[in-house]
Amino acid sequence: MKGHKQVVDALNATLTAQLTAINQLFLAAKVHEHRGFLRLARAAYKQSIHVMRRAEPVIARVLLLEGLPNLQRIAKVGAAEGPVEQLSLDLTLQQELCARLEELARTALSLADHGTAELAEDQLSKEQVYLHWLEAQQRELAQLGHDLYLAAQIHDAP
Amino acid sequence: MYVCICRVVTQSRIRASIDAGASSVDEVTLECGAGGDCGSCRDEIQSMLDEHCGAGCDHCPRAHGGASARAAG
Repeated sequence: MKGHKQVVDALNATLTAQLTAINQLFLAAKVHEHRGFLRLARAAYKQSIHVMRRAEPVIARVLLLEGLPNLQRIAKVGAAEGPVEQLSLDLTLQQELCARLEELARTALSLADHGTAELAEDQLSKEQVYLHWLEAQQRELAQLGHDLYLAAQIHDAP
Repeated sequence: MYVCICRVVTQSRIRASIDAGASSVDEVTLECGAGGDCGSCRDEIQSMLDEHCGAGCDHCPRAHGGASARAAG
């Protein structure tokens, strides 16, 4: 089933944002763990794996539309020197991923590719949950201050 | 943050190189190593150089090695 080039390009742009997120969050999770911030580590690890799972249907969709999934391209991985800075890099990353999914949904809808639009909207609602979590961390940081906030990240209550 | 992950160089370390007189990406690489491996951070180093110099400067050596030289060439 031949798809529109614009849709395939938007799918590949989404894939780039996803691959970047998988790597950045996996690195962040391991660094948080190394430093003993287990709550932050678990959140980043889980999201990294979730995004990897969500990249799968995006890759499948590109193939279905007779395009070639671009697993070569990856954006700059944001690596911070400290846990608080990492959270703001992750927030920027997540905003970018959501923006790519919104753009994908818009492009697909404008070309009447409802299958891709549905995929994009479904994924967007899932990514917004993590975006909301990251925004909540910024609010908690502002309310508690760095020291108190970080003290609350040492233990991980599952 | 780490601008260059390959060579483990932070933003503040690169800023120090620029403050010390590095006027191009190659000079930054020579001075602190950043951008010397995969090269994916070279754009970011360039924008740090541009930022440091600011637009509208056309007499300092940094501008000639950076923005205006690129515009000419």
